[in-house]
Amino acid sequence: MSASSPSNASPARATEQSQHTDAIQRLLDRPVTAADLDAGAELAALPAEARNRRTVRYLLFRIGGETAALPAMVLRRVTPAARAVPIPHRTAGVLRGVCNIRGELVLCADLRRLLGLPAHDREVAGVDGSKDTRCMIVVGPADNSWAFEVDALMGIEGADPSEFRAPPVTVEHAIGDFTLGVTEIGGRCVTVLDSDRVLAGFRMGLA
Amino acid sequence: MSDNAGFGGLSLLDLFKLEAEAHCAALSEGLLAMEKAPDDRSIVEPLMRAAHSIKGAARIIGLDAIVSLAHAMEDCFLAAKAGHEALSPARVDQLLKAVDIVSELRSLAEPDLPAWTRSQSDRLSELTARLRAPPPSVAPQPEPAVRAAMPAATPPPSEAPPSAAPTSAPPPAPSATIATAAGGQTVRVAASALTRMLFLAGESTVEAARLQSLRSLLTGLKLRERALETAVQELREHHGRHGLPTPMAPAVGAARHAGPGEGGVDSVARAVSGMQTALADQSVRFDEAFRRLEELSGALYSEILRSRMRPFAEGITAFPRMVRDIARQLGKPVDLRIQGESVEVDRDTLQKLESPLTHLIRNSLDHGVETPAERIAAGKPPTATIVLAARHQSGSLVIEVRDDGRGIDLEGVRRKVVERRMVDAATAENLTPAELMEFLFLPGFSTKQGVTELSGRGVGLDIVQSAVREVGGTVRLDSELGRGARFTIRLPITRSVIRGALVRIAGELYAVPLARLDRIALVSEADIRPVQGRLQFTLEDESVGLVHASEILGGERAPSGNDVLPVLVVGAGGDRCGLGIDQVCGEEDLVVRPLDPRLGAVPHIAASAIRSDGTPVFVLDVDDILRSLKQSLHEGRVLGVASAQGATTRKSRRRILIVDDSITVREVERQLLTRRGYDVEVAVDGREGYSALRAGRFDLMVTDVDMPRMTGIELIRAVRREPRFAELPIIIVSYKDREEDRLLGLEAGASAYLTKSSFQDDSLIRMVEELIGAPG
Repeated sequence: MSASSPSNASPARATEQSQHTDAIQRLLDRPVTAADLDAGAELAALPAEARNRRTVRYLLFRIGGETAALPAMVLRRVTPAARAVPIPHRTAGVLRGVCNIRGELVLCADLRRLLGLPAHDREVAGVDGSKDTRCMIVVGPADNSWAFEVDALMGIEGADPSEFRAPPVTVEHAIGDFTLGVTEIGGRCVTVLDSDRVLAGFRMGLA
Repeated sequence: MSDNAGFGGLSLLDLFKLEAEAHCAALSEGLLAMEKAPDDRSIVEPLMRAAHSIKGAARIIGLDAIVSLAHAMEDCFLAAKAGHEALSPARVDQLLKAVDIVSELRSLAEPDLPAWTRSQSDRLSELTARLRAPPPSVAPQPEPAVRAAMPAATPPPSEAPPSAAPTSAPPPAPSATIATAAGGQTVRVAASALTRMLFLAGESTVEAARLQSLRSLLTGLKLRERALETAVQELREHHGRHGLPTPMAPAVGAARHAGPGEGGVDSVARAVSGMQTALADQSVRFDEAFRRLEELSGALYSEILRSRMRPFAEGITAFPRMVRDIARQLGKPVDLRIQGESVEVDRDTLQKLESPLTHLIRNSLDHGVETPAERIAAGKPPTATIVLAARHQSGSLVIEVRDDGRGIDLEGVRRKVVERRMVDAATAENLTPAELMEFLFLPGFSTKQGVTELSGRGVGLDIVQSAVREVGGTVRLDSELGRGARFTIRLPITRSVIRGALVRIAGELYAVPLARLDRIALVSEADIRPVQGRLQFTLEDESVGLVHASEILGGERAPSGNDVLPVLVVGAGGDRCGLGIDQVCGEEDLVVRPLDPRLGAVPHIAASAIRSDGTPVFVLDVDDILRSLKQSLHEGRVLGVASAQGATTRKSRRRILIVDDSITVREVERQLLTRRGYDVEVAVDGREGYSALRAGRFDLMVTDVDMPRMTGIELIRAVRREPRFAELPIIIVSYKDREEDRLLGLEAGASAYLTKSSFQDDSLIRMVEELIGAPG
């Protein structure tokens, strides 16, 4: 094994990005604390109708000019953007190829395309010109996990599903088909995606 | 029995227990499934094999009672498969009891075995006798009948636990650590864990390499520091020349009024030099750490890689004993010679080879080797020789089992083939020796008349073949009548690592296993000439057809910068073809990983891998590419000349593709359809069928369901995924006649589902005509 330099990512960018993603990874991996247990116990003690109003944690990200969210439960990993290598005879449409996510080859899908959003573009992504904030999110169960690229990560926030509104009927693109609802988180309008439908959409992309 | 020189410290009994465990699980599961679907004969085949394997394993360790029991079980399954006897619930009950008995063995410690065998002998022989008896009546309550038949003298297992059970040590757990006599330890580790470790080790070498970039960062810092040092030096000189209390140069950033005088410049110089020392020191340390890490992760990687390789001798420890015992039993003195004991074999492969090699050796003992009297009469030494040899040969592992026995009676095989109506007499006349040998690998085909307890029942060579295929190998039989027979198994040395050439095709990198490349030729554009619509160039005075890889894999061919085209030459002998590529980018050892199962079979791609710099790369399937190359060259399709002509000149008869792994079924279908006037092509499994379909023009496909490499269902799904095949009529012809199988087939996209009995009547022909009309 010879030491060859990585082909992508400048060192500075890689460092910056990995700080960003590491922070999220730490959040995902962190051990259960006593406070978590207390919160869980408190929640369990509440009457059912109150419990239904509990907050669920969502991963927020920017994609194709939208701020979207997926339940943090389906997340497996967040890593710096990785190139997807196309699969001959197969890569067209939503399936982009395979990419190396920490030593595992993971099928990579094009969420922008699935949602009918424009391809990555700094203007649309709302990214300042100096740095590339793109990264990969890996979601799904072990036997159906998928990586997809987002324009930027916004962090993990809690939201109450009972406060979701139906997406406006005027919503363009295919995004409406994959949306659970829209809500406001931290002053932003967020499109909450239905993880089952997104995963099914990726899977359909195989055919 | 207490042969402790076994497999990494495991005794033969331990090995038997491990093997029995797997087979018992399969038997129980299968028997229960049979009870639910007594008419599904496809379940029987694996059960028969499991019983057969238990029988063989029990014989090796001398458990005669279990040998007879397993043989009786095998006979029951055989009868069920042949359709003589449906397995009644009572029969299944008996068989499950037999499985229980074999399972009991697993909890016994070696010293207690003789006592157990004695105490259970009545029970065993009784059960064996009952299995051999005609099937119990299919009474609504078979259970009491079985119970009643159990004499009081043989208490049921629950009342009489194995006599030694209270004193016996707990059985070794499958993952236990067992100390060997030499003091070294062998640990059983799940192969998948080892694979994951290998991936992680690979990844850590990639990460170590990434540190290189930090190192260049440090070097940059050193350079800047040097510039600072020079600036301070200049400042000092300037200061000295003018004798002025010059403040810091604006470049250093201090304000004029701060004016610290000469002492100030000195302290800056001191700080800079301190920084320099620290930086140099850190840099050296970093270099050291970096190099150590790189070395360590490299060593870790190759060590884990190597841990997958074991000496050949380790996989065959049981054979000398087995040969001795069987030879004695048969009254045939045999000398077993083992060659290449230290040849390294991938551990997964080694493990999977044990059963096929056992079959082959037993086959030699039973069929191949003659009695001493026969041998003397034939002018041979009375003691026969069986050679088991392993060697590495041109990038493959080759294992041979050869004997100096009577060899294969090809005319006998030919007669049998006709007798069994596998092909008609005229076809049989023209079968080559190699083709005749192929019949020996079909399920249920045996040349020996009598069914002996050993291997004369055709369950065997087909197992050998499927087991060898499973590890990516091939098995070939050649023989000279009267002189002996030789089985040659050829396998990839390891399934996990290949040496690959990295090539660029249509802008993307691919790996090609070096072992499969004839060579990489650099062909000058001027030497490439179109001949009848195809491209050719000359290699060693031989014309070799050429196709650009992008035509096969898709994508845009990169405009070549110079007038030399790199060409991968694949295939052997007069079959060589050239694949034009953009560029050769070097070679690399790659850890091969199977494709994501969700992708199904991808044409022209065998596997995936991760390069040492972390980028994914696909490994090309050279066989599949060769097939497409030949097809392209054959049709002249690539230049789009010949095919256009062909379409107008050729009388377009309806063309049918038959995909089936059984030579018999293929032949029957081919004859049926050809006689009717259709053009027919055949493929031996789903993968080949898929390639053939993509490469050629077909009006209809007939496919089997159960096939190696790619099943019929997978094939149909893959085909239907492509828009141009959306309307292609597909007929499934399968042994499976359950409703759910039919539904599965139709859901996948088949146009019709027929069972193999459709050959007898003309329902296949009728269905074909209904779908695509008369031959044309």
